[in-house]
Amino acid sequence: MELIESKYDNEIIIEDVSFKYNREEVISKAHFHIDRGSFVCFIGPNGGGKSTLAKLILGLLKPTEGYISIFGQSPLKARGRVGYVPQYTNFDLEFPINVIDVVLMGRLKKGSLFYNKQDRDAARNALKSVDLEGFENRHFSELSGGQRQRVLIARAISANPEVLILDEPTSNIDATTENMLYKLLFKLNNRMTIILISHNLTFVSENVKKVICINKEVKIHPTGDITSCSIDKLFSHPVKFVEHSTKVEEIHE
Amino acid sequence: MSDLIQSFLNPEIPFLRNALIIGILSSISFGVIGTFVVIRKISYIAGAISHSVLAGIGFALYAKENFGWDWFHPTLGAFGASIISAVIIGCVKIYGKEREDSIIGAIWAIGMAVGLLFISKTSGYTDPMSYLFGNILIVSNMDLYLVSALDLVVISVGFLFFNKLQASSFDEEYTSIRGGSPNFYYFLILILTAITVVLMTTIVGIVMVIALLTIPSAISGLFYKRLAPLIISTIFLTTIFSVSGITLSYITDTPSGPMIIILAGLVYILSLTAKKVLKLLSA
Ligand SMILES: Nc1ncnc2c1ncn2[C@@H]1O[C@H](COP(=O)(O)OP(=O)(O)O)[C@@H](O)[C@H]1O
Ligand SMILES: [Mg+2]
Repeated sequence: MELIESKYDNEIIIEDVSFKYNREEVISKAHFHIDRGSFVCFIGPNGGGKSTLAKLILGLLKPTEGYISIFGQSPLKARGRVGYVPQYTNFDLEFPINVIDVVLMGRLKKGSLFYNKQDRDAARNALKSVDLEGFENRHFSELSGGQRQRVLIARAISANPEVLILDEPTSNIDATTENMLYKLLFKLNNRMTIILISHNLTFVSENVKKVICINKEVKIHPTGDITSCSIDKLFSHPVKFVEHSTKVEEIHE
Repeated sequence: MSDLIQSFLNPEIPFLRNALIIGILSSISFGVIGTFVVIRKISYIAGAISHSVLAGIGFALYAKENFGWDWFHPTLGAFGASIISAVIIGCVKIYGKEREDSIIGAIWAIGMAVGLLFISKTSGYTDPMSYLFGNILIVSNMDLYLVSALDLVVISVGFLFFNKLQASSFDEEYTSIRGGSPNFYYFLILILTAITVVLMTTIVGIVMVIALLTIPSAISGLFYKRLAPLIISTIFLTTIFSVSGITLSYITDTPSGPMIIILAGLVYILSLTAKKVLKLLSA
């Protein structure tokens, strides 16, 4: 019993989860576990339900069926323990806000109206860990796409979450920035579980322990055995795998 | 000029002094809430709320005469109507499936219609023009007390919830991930907007109060990109526009609302031009 309890506390559990926005099921009976400390990828075609699944884990949406638990807590209870980098940076760039104020949002707390010194220090440290020291008072719109992405990561990690969910963080940035981002994520993986959502397959498989394919239905692969067959099935058309030095497995041409 | 100062101090004409004090006091609320209205892009909602205020004013005047409700000051009526509209609009956005903009349009028009009907059935001399376009002659001591109290509410709530309002205006989703309720803050903004609109209704008028709420912030937005300086500059501009507008309207014996709005509009156009010129020069 003890053993089961502690395992339960160290896993993100998705059990028979289905979800529909309207009539049609977007997620159908998803069933998988993620171990604490792991680095997993959600991959799948556009509209496959990746963002929806992320929002279910974040407690922004409620499953129509099934059960989700994050280290033994319900998504709503676990909110403070999960950091999130949303998919589109479709923010209003006219909005008057500084980098530090964006990062401080990660320190918002129920029942406290003002940020204290601890919050400010945490926000500054988070900026430091994404290499944006000194950007505190820059206007959010003055940054490049990659810098903005890193500010959002800083916001997500400023509360020192146990899980970090990133929704397609590389879609608007160039290859160099992308590599930097992966390095940062692997470093962060030392202290938190990472869920990286991507619609392309250029992940660095050596560090990714588990790939979860999401196209309404959910299929799980240890990175070793993604076969061209399962990938092709997932994306109803043949997938061209982008080669990425020796670290990435080439699957299909 | 000394004439003017004399009129200001003259106890026989308290309305001028009251109007100026109200103008200065409300500028703070206008600066804070106007800025949020502009950055959240909800000026059409503020417009609907302010127009619906006429229903409350009309009802207050009617009730005073017909039910003998002497305590029912028009500003109280305005306050009631604006809060009701804000709550309806907030509920529609949060729970409703109807198109938000149709409801907003309906509140806008129905509010005015109800108000004009009540006023038409009130026999005492009430000129709807005063409420539509502002008239410092109708500013009473009671207005001064009510406005001061409401102003205090807006300023303290605005100060206490500043971080949360900023965060939820920027990113509602993340606010709820951090345990906040974006709907609550949206409601809060609407309620504060409703109160703010009422503050200057008698001076600027129902039809034009929305311009005083948004133009100063739009001008500041041309020059400032950060929220705090934006708000401070907006407060400053609103004070200037209302004080000089009230003074000019007293001197020239014209309605105060149009005077204030024309001043604000002129400065807005000048600022737009100045900004263009500066850009050309620096290029
Ligand atoms: N708010 C919403 N309301 C209704 N349908 C939605 C909503 N968000 C997403 N969908 C639908 O759900 C499906 C999955 O979307 P999403 O989770 O965003 O996919 P992905 O992130 O994999 O591209 C899509 O068919 C999309 O059209
Ligand atoms: Mg998505």
